[in-house]
Amino acid sequence: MKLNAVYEREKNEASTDYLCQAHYPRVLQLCRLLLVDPHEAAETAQEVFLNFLRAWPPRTEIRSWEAWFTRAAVNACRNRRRSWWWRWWRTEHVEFDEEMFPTAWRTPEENVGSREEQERLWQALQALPRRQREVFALHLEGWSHRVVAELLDISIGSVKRHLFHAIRRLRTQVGEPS
Amino acid sequence: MTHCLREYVLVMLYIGEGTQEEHNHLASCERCAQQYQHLVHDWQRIEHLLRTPPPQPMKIRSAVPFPQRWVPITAMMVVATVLVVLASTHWSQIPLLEATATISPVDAVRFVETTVVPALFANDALPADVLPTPVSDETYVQAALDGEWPCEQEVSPSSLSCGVHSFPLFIGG
Repeated sequence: MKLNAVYEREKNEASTDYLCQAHYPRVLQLCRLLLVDPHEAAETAQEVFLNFLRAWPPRTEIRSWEAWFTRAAVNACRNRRRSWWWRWWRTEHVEFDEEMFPTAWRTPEENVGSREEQERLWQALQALPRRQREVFALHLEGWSHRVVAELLDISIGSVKRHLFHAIRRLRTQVGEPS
Repeated sequence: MTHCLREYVLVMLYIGEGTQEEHNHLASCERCAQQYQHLVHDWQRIEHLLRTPPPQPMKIRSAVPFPQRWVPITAMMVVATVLVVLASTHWSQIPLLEATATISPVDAVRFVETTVVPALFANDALPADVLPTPVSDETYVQAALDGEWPCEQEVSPSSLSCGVHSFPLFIGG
């Protein structure tokens, strides 16, 4: 009986470890896209996994842990952005450091150009309305429109519309500034 | 299809939507194909730039410099402190009321009798017609004997003695 309990606990720990390792990078990347700030994203991703561990074992059967973590990350990012101090303290401006994208095959001019382009792009992403940003981030993750619609509780038509508006805004920041 | 495809349709085609007719048009129209290629290039560029992990040294900079963000809080704290100091100073300057005189119970009763009570129950200022007219006991005794009531016939309480004061005897004595 006691052995069974130990075995069960070890099995659970193995499951949680596996799930954390398998999904953490993806959740972190999603949080970065939704929050832009990497530190905020890291904190939010950890929060997601803390909540996951607190709720373990799940009371109901989880059909897709990938979808579960995605939804949890989206909700956590929403909560993080909703808090008044976050809005007050943080701003829309993102600044990149000089040594951000040093690559061997790029000239310094190209590096600067790429850095500015990425800065503009992250700013544009940050400035997107919440829905557009969420839809675009989930699209970037490879989710189908149907799943995105389910995750965000909106219609598939809305998903397409938000995606179109998001990509149209982001496209203005790609390439040389006009 | 003769018209060129709108941007929305091009986006839909890129994400795997769109009708066969739109696909055919895209294959045949050079201008639409060029726009589509441009879209694909931009989209892939965006995905590439955003998929690249955001660099760790990336900073979120405040619109106002860091010290200035504390200005509202500091100002509020200063104002609150000044208010507290002013309030405490003001209250400390008010002298405490002290009982400087004593009065005997007899004098107090006399004061009440001679000043307070007349002031409370004075009716000199009232016009004479407002005061209820005393009705003698005889009227009511006679009415009781006759089986009537003096105010019984009054439909509306226009008379003070009947309408307003239900028991005028008690008022007039």
